[in-house]
Order: sequence, then structure tokens, then C-alpha cells
Amino acid sequence: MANFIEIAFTGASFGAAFALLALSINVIYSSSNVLNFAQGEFMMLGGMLGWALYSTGRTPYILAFVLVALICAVIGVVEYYLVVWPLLRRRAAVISIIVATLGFSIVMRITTALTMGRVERFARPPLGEDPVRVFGAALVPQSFVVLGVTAAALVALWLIYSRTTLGLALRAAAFEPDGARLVGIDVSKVRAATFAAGGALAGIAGLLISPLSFASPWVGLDFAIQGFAAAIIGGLGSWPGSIVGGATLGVFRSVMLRYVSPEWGNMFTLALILLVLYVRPTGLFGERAAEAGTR
Amino acid sequence: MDEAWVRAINRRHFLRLSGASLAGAALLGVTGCGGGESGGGGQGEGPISLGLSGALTGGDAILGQTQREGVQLAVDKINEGGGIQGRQIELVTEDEANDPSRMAEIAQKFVTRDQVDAIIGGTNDGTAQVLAQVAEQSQVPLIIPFANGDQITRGKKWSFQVDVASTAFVQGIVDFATENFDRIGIVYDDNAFGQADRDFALEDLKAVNVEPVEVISIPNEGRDYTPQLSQFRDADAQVLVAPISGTNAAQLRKDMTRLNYEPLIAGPNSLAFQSMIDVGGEFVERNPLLEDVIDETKPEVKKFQEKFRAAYDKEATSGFELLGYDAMNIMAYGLKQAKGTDKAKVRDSIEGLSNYEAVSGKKGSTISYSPEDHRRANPQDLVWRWVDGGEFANANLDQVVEAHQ
Repeated sequence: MANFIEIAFTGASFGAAFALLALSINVIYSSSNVLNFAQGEFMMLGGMLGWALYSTGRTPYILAFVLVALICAVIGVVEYYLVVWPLLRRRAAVISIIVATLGFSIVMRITTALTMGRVERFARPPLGEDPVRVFGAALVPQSFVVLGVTAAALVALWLIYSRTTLGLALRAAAFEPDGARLVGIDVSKVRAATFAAGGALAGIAGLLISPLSFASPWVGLDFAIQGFAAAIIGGLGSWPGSIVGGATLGVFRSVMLRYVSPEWGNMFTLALILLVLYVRPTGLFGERAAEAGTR
Repeated sequence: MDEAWVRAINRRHFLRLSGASLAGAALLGVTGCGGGESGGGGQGEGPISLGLSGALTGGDAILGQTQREGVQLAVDKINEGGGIQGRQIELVTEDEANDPSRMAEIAQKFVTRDQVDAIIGGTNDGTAQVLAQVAEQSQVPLIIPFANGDQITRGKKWSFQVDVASTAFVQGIVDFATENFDRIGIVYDDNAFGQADRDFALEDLKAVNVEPVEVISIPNEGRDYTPQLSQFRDADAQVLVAPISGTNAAQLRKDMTRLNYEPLIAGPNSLAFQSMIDVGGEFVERNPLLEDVIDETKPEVKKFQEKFRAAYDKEATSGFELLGYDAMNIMAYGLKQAKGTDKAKVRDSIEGLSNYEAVSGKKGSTISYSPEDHRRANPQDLVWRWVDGGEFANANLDQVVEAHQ
């Protein structure tokens, strides 16, 4: 029993981080229909910045948290105005925008490697490494941090989306951009805000997950695969779907690695995607989001 | 517009374009293969051109970096001394990015466009095999500092390996494990290097009638090895024969601590990187145990460390810098003996190397090649090491065994 709890809980922790990444993908997608393939690199950058600021620079953790979110948000806005907005303005094909975001991801990766080093880095956990015992299972404190922050992020985003003027503007821009412009909403600025939010969320995910393993400039692509998998499983465009997709993916992978085969990592990810899409082609929550017109 | 006229225009356009393309390709072919000016090489008075290929980006970037540093240190020393036969050495450096298809492009570039006199490189088994194949076809001498898969130079006339052969590493680890422990597991990286060493380990264990309790692969740079470790825990493995990277070893050690299950990890010099210490921190103190080719009791190593520190303002922490340094010095030996850059003579000179006192390897060990064997295959060249106080150091095997039995 303790064994299963350890496996499932660790899987859920990683799943929660990928859920945050999936949420960042969906926040952007739901406002602009853009699949931003650089989101994995934002998560990578969050881990590397966490190493530089907190593990090495000894910046207090809360301040490092805020700085990571801010820096990634700014880079998200830069990506929007430099890469995405010019193509959206020209009504470029979806594939062109996707390729452009892939190009931006490469720039991020190489710039990070050149400025912060090409090798893996130790990410110091803020609450230490001594495991907490729950029903005999050894659980790392950082796992609780990841799960807690993911839940808090979802609640915060839901409150913003449903209770604020900004949220109303986001919904309007997503549902009917031309109509939104007519009532005075600057759709471009709203979309830039979602790129900022997406960058911040992904950066925070990287900061949270790196103490469970390490920070490295080369992991962005792997993160992107897991993040998009979680987004597809949960339903593209669905915010609650991101969380459910991430958690499902994380626990499923860990359990299958332990009890079926320890060698088929990404095969299980793919198998889960195919299984979910076979049963519900729009993902677990995708259809509901499409019907309701809300996220 | 008239359809026939459109077809005619298109046909003319196509023919013009094809003609221009063919002319351009012919021109490139002439300039690429013809003269000797663009890439050095040849028997003349100009610099000696050496191709240097290593992974400078990607997960194996540390390997390429350390190789480059070791090779460059040797090149600087040789050039400061007047070069070879009065000719300076010039390196043509490329990033193979741990990608065999990229390696194929670079290898072809070295031999056709750059026309190098010889090559040093091949960071891992996958890329080294590609490079060795091209060197064989193009008849260019190649020295491989790191990749030590036995199959790389088997049957090849033009390639030589400097690191101790994989089989020797694995033999040493298996001997240590079977002499001191009953329940032995194998954990290996899911790549060419890991799979090859797994096979060697299984053969060596079978030769002494020992069955491993579990044999499990792990993905490179995985983030969580709890599922795999819990299987080893269920099998009660005391020691894990581990042909894995240093980063993976560090992650395994962190996950082991969470599971409160800490068997000994014993691996080859793929663990001997600063990144293992950077990622693992206190978790990698005195476990894992690793074999390496750096012996700090050797005076030559102390001198190398001084030069390295002066050049790069940091310590050479593993044997890999030494292997790059030795690779360049062996190449220089071949060039000096050949009295020029005649590729066949250089190759023959290197092949005739006998009892060469390298900087790498255990005190008293030497490197020799023969027409039948271009490897360095003596397990006695290896030194057991661990991390002690945040730095690599020679290990105390008695303490290790006592702590894990």
C-alpha cells in the first residue's frame, strides 16, 4: 500500500506541474487559437531561473517565485508582439504560426544555454529533502508545494476569468474577436495578456518541478510533449481539463511504469492520448467547453 | 493565356533553372574537392588541419566541452613549441549535437569540404560509429577520445580509441559486484551505450553463473525513477551495475533516498562528470562508485591539472579532459613519426604505438595498439573513484563494501 501511495503521489506531483503547463497552453489557445509550442521552453526557463536566483543566488524563495513569473511573463509578451501578432495581423495560416513559435522555442533554448550554461543544475527545494511519512509512504515536501500551487493557480485563474472585467474581456475576445473590438476591447492587448499569463504559469511550473529532479536548458521539448499531451487529454481550450489531464497523465504514467513495464515511458503517454481520444475525441472536457462557449 | 504558351514558358523556365542548378553544383564540386586552399590539408607548408567533433549542445554537451578543453590544451602546447615539423595545428571544430545524422554531415564536411588531415571526435557510441565509418571509407586517421564501445573500431583500419574499452569497464564492475555481493541488479541507460554495456554485464554474470535479480532500463534525463527503483527494492538488490550517465545516477540517488532504499550504484566513467555532483549534491557522497581513468597519484596528472587550471581557471574533475589531451598527443605522435600528413603513414605510426605513457589511466598503465586491436582494453588501467566532500577522489573500497552489505 505504501508503495502504491509513493508511486501515485510522485506521479501526481509531476502531473500537477504538467497540468500547469497544459493550463498555460490553454490560456493562450482559448483567447487566440494559437498553439504556442514555445511553452515547454518557458517551463525550462522557470527551472533555470530558479536555479540562478534561489539555488545559487540565494534570493528568498517567494521573491524568486515572483521574479520567475514576471520574467517569463515579459518574455511571453515579447513572443506575442515579435512572433505571433505580425502573423495574426496578416491572417497567416495556423501552421505558419506554429512553426514561428517553434522557432522562438529554439531561440529561447540556445539563449538560455549560452547565458546560463549548457549542463544540468541542482535545484534546491525550499522545504528541504527529508520525506514526510503518510501511511508509511515517504513523500517529498516539494510534491505538496507543486500540488498546492497548482490548485491555487486554477482557483486564481477561475476567479479572474469569471469575476473580473479582464476575465470578461478575455471571454469576449475568445468568443467573438470582431464583436469585442466593436465594443472597445483591445483584442491584441488582451491576447498579449494571455501570453504573459501563459509564460508566467509555465515558468512557475518549471520552478516548482525542478527541485524534484534538476534544471537543464535541454528539457523544454520533453516538457512540451507532456504539456501538450495533458492539454489534449483534458481537452484543448478547457482550463479544468488541463488539471484533470495533467493529473491523469502523471498518475497513469507512474503506475504503468511501476506495474506494467519500467521502460515504456512515452509509450504510455501516447497510449493514454489514443485511449481518451477514442472515447472522447475532443478530450475529457473539450466538448463541454465547446458547447458552453466558456472555459 | 494560351495553355500551350504557358506550358512552353514553364518548360523553358524549368530548363533554365535546371541548367543553373547543375552548373552551380558542378562549381561547388570543383571548389569543394579540387583545391587544397579552403580547408588546409595536403602535404604542403601550411598548417595541419584537424577536424574536431564533439557534442557541444544537447544532453551530452559536457562531454563535448571537456573533450574540446583537453584537445585545445594539447594543441596550444604543441603550437607553442613550434608545431609539428614547423607546422602549426589548426582545429576545425563542429558540434555533433549527440545526433548521428548530424555526425554524418559533419564527417562528410571534414573529408570533402575542409579536407582535414585527420579527425578527433565521436562523443558517444552512436556518433562515433558513424564517424568511424566515414573515416574508413575516406581513409582518414581518426582518434576517438571517449566512445569506448568495442564494436566501434572492430575490423576498422583507420580508427583508434583512447578510453578503456567498454568490455574492460564492465568486467571490472561485475568482478567487484560478484566478489562482494549476492543480489546484483543491472540498471542501464536506454541508448546504444547502455544497451551494449548491459549485454556485456549479462555475459560476464553468466560466465560466473550469477543471475541478476532485475535488469531495467531508464530513459536519459528522466525526472522520476521511483517506479524503476521500487522494482529493485522488491527484488532486494544490494548493488546495481549501472552503465548510466552521471545525471541519471544523481536522480537515482535522490529517488533512492525518498524510498529509503539505497543500494550501491557501481558504474563506468560515464558517471564521472561534474554534473553528477551539481545535480546530486550531498546525495552522491560515497555512492555511486565509479571506474575512471584519472589517477591523482600520478605526477603527470598533477602537472596536467596545473596547466588546465592556468588555461581554464577551473579543475579538471574527471578523466575526460585527460582523454581529450591524450587523444591529441597520440595524433601528434602519429604526425611526427610520419614526418608529415600522409594519411596512410600517420595511420601506420599510430597503429605502431607501443607502451605509450598516457596521462590518463592508472599509475603504471600504458597504451599500445596493434593491427588487430585499436582499443585500449586493459581493465588494470582503471581506478575506483567516488565523490568525497563534493569532489571526485580515489575511493576506499573496503568502506564501500562494509556500508552496503
